[in-house]
Amino acid sequence: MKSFFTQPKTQVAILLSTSVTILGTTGLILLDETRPIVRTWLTNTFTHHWLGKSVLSISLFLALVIILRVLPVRVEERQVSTYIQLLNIVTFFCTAALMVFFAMEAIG
Amino acid sequence: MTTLLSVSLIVHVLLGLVGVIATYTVWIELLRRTPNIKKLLVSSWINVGSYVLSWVTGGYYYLTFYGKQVKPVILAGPYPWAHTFFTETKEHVFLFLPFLALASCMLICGYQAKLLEQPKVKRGVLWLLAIQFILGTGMAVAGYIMSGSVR
Repeated sequence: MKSFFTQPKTQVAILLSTSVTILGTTGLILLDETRPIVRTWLTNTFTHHWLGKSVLSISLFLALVIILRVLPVRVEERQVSTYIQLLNIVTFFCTAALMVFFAMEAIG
Repeated sequence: MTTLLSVSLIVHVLLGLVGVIATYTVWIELLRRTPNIKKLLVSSWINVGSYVLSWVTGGYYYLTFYGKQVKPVILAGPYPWAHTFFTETKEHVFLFLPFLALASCMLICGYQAKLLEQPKVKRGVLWLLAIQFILGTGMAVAGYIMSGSVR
């Protein structure tokens, strides 16, 4: 396990997959809240919209990790810190976006 | 509420708190000049496990009971914003936490003592843990507000 996690390619795959999953989940949440057809599809497919978002976020994450891990792209160790920064920034802005959105829903 | 639902809710809350404490433990330990690597690893995995299990137990309660029994009470009461802001934000932002916990755990497993020789990576992990701690604490506060608004 240690040697698998020490490979920069694995680390970047997980970091980038997490960033994209958070972005994708945020997009799906906003679409679900603003487009009834998305909510209907999630409910019909997964019995509940929140369950659908959970399943889709896990699926997206796993698919991306596998794809990014097997892609024949060279990854340098010095890139890891950049992808950690990217993840932190993406998380901050996605959290802020959701908080603003739901605050506006609560007020309006 | 059935016994299973009560247990699910209690376990969800406790696991969430364990997750927040584990995040803080990892963060504080990593700030030390010579962190205890075993403590970092154990706390990191506890962090991941707690958030994943909290997801499952909280999800069970939310899907089977909250929507039909609790949400209407909050919306009809004097604090409807407890659901429209706090529940909605909590149920969605929480989806980030298990992945963030896994990412930080993976980095700590991968680097271990080498983290001390990589200041940029270490700084990034510290920020990642700080974000998790803030989000986890926010989840706990939101949950407290939600439960308070029902009474």
